[in-house]
Amino acid sequence: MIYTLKDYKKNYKNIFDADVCIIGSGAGGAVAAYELAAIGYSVVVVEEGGYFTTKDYDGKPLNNMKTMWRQAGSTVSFGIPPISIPTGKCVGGTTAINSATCFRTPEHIIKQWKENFKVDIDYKSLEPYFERVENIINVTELPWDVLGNCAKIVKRGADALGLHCKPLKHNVKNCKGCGTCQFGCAEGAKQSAEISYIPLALQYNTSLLTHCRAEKIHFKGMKADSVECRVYNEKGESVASCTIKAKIIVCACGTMITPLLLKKSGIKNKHLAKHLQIHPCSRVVALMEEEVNGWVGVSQGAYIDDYADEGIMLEGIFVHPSILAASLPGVGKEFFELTKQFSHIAAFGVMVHDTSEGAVFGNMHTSFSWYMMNTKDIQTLKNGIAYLAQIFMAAGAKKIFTPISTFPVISCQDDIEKLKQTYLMRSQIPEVFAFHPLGTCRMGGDSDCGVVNSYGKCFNTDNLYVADGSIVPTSLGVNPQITIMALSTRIAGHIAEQLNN
Amino acid sequence: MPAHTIKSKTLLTVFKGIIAQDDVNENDVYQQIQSYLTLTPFYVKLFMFFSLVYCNLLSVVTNQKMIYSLPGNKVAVLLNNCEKHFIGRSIIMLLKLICTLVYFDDDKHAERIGYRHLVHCK
Repeated sequence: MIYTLKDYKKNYKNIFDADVCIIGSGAGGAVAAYELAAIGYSVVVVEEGGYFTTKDYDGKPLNNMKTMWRQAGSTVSFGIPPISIPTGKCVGGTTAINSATCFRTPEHIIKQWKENFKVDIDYKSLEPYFERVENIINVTELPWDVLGNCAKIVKRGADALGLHCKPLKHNVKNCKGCGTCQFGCAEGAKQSAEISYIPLALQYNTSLLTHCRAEKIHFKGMKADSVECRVYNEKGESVASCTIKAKIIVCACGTMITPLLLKKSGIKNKHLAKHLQIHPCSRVVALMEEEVNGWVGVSQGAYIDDYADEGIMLEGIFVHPSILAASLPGVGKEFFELTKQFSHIAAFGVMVHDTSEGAVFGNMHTSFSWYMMNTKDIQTLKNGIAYLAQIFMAAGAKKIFTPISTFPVISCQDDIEKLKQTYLMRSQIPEVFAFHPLGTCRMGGDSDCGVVNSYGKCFNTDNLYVADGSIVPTSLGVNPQITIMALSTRIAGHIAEQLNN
Repeated sequence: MPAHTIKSKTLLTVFKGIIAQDDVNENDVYQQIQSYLTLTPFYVKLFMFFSLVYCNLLSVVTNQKMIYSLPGNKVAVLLNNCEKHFIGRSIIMLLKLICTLVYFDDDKHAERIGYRHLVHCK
């Protein structure tokens, strides 16, 4: 059953009883909900946001940012530069607003987890979970026509330079490439959690409480006993309260919120809310001679991993003109003239496999973070931008716009060479984003290494689990959706064993 | 009509300075920006406020007038100069993002740059 605002008893304590209470319905929560419900356990899923479907999507960023993005898309990590970290606040969580890009966890990263944090996982043992997740969300390779012209242009440039531009895999069905992935898939093609896992879970004994924010987890000794929640309407006013009693409680509110909920609930661990890694990203925009119409095709079509050893991943990133236009230089008439040439604009992104770490602060209502990019990551980002500029140049770009304040426009090879030689200061690159926050409740072999064990169970508790991006111990260098879903499937299996016993 | 306060006049002047188009319904724009900002956390509202103060201060220092008293071409020059250093560029980036977000949300405006909402996916 789905509880919407009208289904709660107003000004009254709604009480639910279940085998498992899962807080959050994103990549971690939705997967755990289905896996546990499907084998016969009663599940209550608590979701702070609303349940949106294709009929709610008008393809316009403003409306959907207000309703589906946490803090209307203005979640920021402080530091120099400040970094925007948009995450989802709706059924499906960030999977509802991501680019549907799917990568398995790189094998060498899993080895690092074992060596550095004593995490008892290896690639081989994760493979069945990857396969299961990929089947359910239909991970598939799309034809180049659906990947869009930006991807084709970058491929042309990469081919000319002897690089390898490959199509990304997406979790979609019948995708025609409407390019609105980040604002709710208007075609209903993206198999995000609210389209794939949540409906599957709802076929079994699952209750989904929307607009319901978990405020605190109550303990009896080492045992998590119940979750105290409040229901908020669209204006943010509290209209009802809920208590969910469960044998097992799973926190899956995402990297930015889970550590804050655990902290508020009295969990103490020196790694809690720390070690935030985010994959800092930026973009390069190119003005092409040919018509691009970058909005036709998926927003993230292709990738180049030739520079992965340097910590650089180049991935597509063409978003709605109302956001991408802000990347164009200048203001006033000069700026508007450029936007008029938008059909000739191509864009691609640079993602850094970061070595910097940050921390999360605030409360469940307003979370923010501190993340200062270290010198190495700043130079890596700059190198990625230079490589991408080189690729666009090889593809025949007339002008290239970078996010670096000292190199706003690149129009010849000399500029690229100068950029490569430049030592970049933090303050010279104000336009940095991040879409993959990870690590704030990381897994570890013991409480000296992490907050949860290799099965997501919180140290020093009997029945409190974490199943979201926060348990991923390090940044991955690739999009984390499949990693989170696979780990969550594994955790659900372990929870089932505990419930059986 | 909200466009009487220093804040609203500054915001609308900056909006017009960035977008440089005449077909802007000031009331709609102001309300859309405000309705967006109400959903953002305190630090974004604070940064927005600081950004508008910064634009006015810069205007007073360089032109001895508040930004909303300047002619359009001078507003553009002032905002362009902001882009040259880190704080100014961060401010302009936020202002530009909010302006484009609101402006191109309108089908009529989006069509001017060749974009039609959802048409290309049918």
